[in-house]
Amino acid sequence: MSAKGLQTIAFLALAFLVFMASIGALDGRF
Amino acid sequence: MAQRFGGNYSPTATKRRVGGSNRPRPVRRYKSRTRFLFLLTLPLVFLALTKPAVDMAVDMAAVAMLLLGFWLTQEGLKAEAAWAERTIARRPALPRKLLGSLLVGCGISLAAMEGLSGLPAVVLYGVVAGGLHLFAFGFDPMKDKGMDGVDTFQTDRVARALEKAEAYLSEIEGAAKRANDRGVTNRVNDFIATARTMFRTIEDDPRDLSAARKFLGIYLQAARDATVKFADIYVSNQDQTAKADYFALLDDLEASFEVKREKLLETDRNDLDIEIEVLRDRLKRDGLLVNEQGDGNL
Repeated sequence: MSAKGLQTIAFLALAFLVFMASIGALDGRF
Repeated sequence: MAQRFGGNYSPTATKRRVGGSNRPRPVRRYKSRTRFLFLLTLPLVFLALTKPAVDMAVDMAAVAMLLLGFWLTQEGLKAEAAWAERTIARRPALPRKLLGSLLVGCGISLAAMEGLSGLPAVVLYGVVAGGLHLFAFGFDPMKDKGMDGVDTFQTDRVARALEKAEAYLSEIEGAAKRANDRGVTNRVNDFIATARTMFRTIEDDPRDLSAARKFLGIYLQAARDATVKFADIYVSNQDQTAKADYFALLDDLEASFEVKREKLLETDRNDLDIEIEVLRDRLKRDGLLVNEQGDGNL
């Protein structure tokens, strides 16, 4: 896979994490 | 940005000038990703409002950190694009993308925090977010580029002069947009591209600055004033003669910019000729020149 593709996947994962944090889905999930 | 349909064969087509399409356009791609992240942060604001005071404060701090982080990332990407575009560039003073990933990591940690329990997991979320950010957006350019044997005092002078000139260009662009005419916008964009080509020439050889100072200052200032006046007139009555006059002015300016740029390159070439001459003489003296007759067969 190209570096650009990996970067896009990392970006999507980051976006997912930000979204989960911002709807409170990470609160108290330990 | 949305543009009305139009092309070479539309009734209102302005003739595209030769070479116009090959010029580099500013990179705008980097904005969409950070904007998307900005949007994703918004639900946290509303979520925070439903929480008790302390949790709300923590979540708001998280929002602030995330937004600041994304903004820094955007600025970092902009700086990187500018760094990549130039042949001679100093590294950005502040590693904005790196700071951005730190802030995003801290922001995610704060957003995931619920009291003080489960701190390791919270830290882990932060580290993962920061790592993903670094991977997705990369590091800042950490090295100076093409700065060997360059007088930093001179390049600073050039950078300051060009910054002022760029400010004029953006004012011209803004005024032209006010005229609300696609032909005008395109024509002005072409002019701006010509001016930028000259900027790059000066950047490549800072000694050109004193020769080109009039072009960066007085001429661009006059062009800005003319554009502002033209936009005022054109908006109120769509005066076609004013438009023709204004285009003629831009043509003249552009031609003189091109001529000046050619001249600047010519002086660079003269310098190169002298260097070659000196080296050739030296080689001849040392008996190392194989082909004395052939030009360029050094």
